[in-house]
Amino acid sequence: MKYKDYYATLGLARGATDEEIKKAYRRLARKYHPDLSKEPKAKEQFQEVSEAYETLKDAEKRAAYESLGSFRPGQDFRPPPDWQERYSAGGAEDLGGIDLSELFASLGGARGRGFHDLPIPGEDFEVTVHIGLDEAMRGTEVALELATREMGPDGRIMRTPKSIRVRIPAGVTDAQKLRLRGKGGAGFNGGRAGDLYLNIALHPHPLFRVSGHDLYLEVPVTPWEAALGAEIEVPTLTGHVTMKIPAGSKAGQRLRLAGKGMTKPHGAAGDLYAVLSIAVPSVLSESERKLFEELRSASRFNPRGHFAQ
Amino acid sequence: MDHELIVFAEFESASGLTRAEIVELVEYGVFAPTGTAIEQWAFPESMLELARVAARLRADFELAPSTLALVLAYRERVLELERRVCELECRLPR
Repeated sequence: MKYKDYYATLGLARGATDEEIKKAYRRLARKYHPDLSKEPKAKEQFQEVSEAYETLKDAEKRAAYESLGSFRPGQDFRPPPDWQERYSAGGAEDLGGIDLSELFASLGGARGRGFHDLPIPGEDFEVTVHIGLDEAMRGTEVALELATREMGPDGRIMRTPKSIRVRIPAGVTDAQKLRLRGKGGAGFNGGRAGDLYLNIALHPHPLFRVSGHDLYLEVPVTPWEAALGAEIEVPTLTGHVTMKIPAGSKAGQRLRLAGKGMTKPHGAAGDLYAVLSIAVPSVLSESERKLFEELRSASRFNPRGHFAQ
Repeated sequence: MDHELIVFAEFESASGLTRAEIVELVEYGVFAPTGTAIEQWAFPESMLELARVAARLRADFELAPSTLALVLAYRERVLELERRVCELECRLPR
């Protein structure tokens, strides 16, 4: 079993008071709570902080933790010989294969609730699934690895890896949550199966940006296409289409291609917005330069006329 | 899934909130069930995500329902602003 320094996780010394433990937890929970935080790895950080707090806030668990001794974080260790009899309800099982958090969770479970008789609902799982825009359009299937709880022959609940495949329907969007009822962990003693919650995260696309079911595509046009109008080819997720650029178009103008966005769940589709930018050649040929100079002399257009007012 | 309704008992068990907490959060306008009598309440499945967030925040910060309602309202505003920022960023040249 690997040692974890719960006090260091909370930024505390060993003799911290209950009040100091609670304050440290609240401060770190506010920083890392996955429902509120934008910190990188917030979820993992919050799990570490919660695990430490779950043990240290409970006087009995804290005493059990302290009597394990003190080791370096990550160091392999074994509890003292009498530790299991003093604190664990499970008897003399081999603790080598379990995690420190499971050890302390089992202390609480065994102490409280008549664990072996009551129906225990299966665990809910929440997993973030990264898929591409094409997969979101068409629907896809993904393979997931879950660490589910299984009851061993001795009645002890252990974590077991479980592989499942789940179907993601066509029309999902970025940050959407899907609930797959009964696809989580198995229940025990007649308890219902848990649910699986999928958080959809779309991979960034090199061309398209996504807002709900709408797509945005930056479309560079030449100054003469913007001024005179043009018909140009633009990509969509389902192939190229011809789009009309009206004469007198401006940079930043949005042109809508209705129904060319992401598929929606019930058959309709979002829109594709072409956002125009005016591209100018970085190197001008001699004849191009001449024509631009002619245009400068001939044109009375002043885009900064309103500055003078 | 947005249109599917789930009954109160299932909403309670899947959200992790207690019945009393759900009733109080409905009073504060956090959830809007269909049906008038409490026994007939049904909730859009899409509301379950918010309920699970509420359950986690309540458990992790030991929040009272009134505080929870306030936090959730601000969280919704932040999410709405983030959606708006995302939409506006989509229009900017790269």
